[in-house]
Amino acid sequence: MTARISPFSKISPAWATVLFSCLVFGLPLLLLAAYSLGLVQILNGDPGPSLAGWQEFFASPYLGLYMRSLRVALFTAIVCTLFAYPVAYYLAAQPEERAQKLLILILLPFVTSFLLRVLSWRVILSDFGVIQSFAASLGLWPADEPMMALLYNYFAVTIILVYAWLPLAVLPIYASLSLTDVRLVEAAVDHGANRWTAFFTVTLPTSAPGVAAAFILVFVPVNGEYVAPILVGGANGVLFGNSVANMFGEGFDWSFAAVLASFLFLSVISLLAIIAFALWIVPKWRQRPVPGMVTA
Amino acid sequence: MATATSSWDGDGMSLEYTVTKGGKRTLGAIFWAVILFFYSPLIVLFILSLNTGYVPRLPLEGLGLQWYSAALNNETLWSAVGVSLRIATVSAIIATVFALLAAFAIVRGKGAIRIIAAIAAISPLVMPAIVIGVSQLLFFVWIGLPRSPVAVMIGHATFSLPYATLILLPAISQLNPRCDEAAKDLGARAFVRSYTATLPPALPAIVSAFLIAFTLSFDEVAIAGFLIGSDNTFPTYLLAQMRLPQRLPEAMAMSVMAAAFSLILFNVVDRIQQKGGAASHGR
Repeated sequence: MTARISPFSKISPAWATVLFSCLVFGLPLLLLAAYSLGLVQILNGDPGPSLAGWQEFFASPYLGLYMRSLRVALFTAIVCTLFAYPVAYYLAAQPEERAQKLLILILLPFVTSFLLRVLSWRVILSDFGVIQSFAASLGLWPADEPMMALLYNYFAVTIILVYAWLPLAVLPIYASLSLTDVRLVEAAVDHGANRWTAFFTVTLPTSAPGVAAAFILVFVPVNGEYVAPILVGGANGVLFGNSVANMFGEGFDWSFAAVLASFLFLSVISLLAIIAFALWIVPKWRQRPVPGMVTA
Repeated sequence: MATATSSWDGDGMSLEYTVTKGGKRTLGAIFWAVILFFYSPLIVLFILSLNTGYVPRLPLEGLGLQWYSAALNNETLWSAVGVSLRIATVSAIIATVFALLAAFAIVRGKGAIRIIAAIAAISPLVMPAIVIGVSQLLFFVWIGLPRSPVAVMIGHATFSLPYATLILLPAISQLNPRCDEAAKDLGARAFVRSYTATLPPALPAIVSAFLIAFTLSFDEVAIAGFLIGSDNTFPTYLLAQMRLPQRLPEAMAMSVMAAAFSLILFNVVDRIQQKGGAASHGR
């Protein structure tokens, strides 16, 4: 049957979505990049076309701050993925109905406000906060001395970001694991593989797209994070996003801020390209015939 | 379980039979440890929000709802909530409509539009919110749209579009195209068909997509911070309050109430999804 099954007319109405996305997402990104090069003037006194902003950026301490933020983002994304995997596997190993209930248990904290989740850690870690006052009540810490080490550093920021994003990382891994064909695992075991070998040769590769999606879903927002450091980062825990936010706000240096934001945008795109390439190349490499392998 | 192979004779569908008992116990321990990690800070925050003193610490100075009543009587807060509700409603409608158009094209379209619609609808997901906010701020200033709730509506619609699309996609792909064909054979025109035959079975997913987009917008602070200007949304107001120690207890009470509101919405989504799932299984 070749009847047109689309409920709509000849020109797909989805072009409206494409137009919307280009207008409010694509075009602003192009404008940001053009503005960072001085190709567009928006405010009075914006400089003309030049690479000066970018040259200044690569000579500035902001590049170092970016590298520190990148480490925080990579570390957060890796930790989230590492913890999300066994959690998702546990869910996938449950009967369907129970798995659904447990999944909701995982997602509930994610539905509560992001600010609430950050604030809860601030209250726990702050000077005279829960940990300090608890330690003091046990006599482990002087009641009148602040426990400075816990808050306002990269450690606090990283814990909180892992806490905030871990629930989201579970979803794609669970989705890909529940699509795993158990008969393949069975076949591997029937042919003499032990459970770990079966896991590494069958289950893990089939869930690789889910793992990549989990990594991306955490890495992308964390790479541009600026809200959590406002509450728990302090001067020693600022991220690259804070510099961008400050320059667009109080600092008011939009053309240089555009350079920073464009750099962030380009770095995210590059990382995604690397991951996409890895997802494409690794299966090809795995499919090479193995010496001694019997092909049916 | 005597041998590895005998334990495979289960339902053959879940990964249940790929782990040993010990392995399951280890996975279970990790799972419940993570749940504990998720919930204990929230419980601590809730308890401390009932504290009558100014400083959130243990032991509590006393239990009471004074910060909740302070929050409920705070007019600035309510005007910020009003702004957020308006932004969330409008942005969620925009996001759901565009997501629905994209999802139909991705599932049923032919040729390039499938890929193009998918890229257009999903790509905001892989851009940090700060980049969306900053680039839209520049764009809006460039075209002469001042910072305002309207700007945030557009920003949030952009931000929610991928999530709404991802919620709609599975539901749309499970729809039975024959409903459409039958309606067509009976002579219904495209526009009528979409209302009488195509959309009703997808309604639970459409409502879920709207509610998720609504919740995301109501909670979003990174984009709103750039685009709201002199007004306040609920989260930008909350963030400002959280930075002042003397306002912290009230901010905690506010955020607990907002969380309760989000949980109710999520519960509604979950019920709708389950009913929708039951309906599609029954077909």
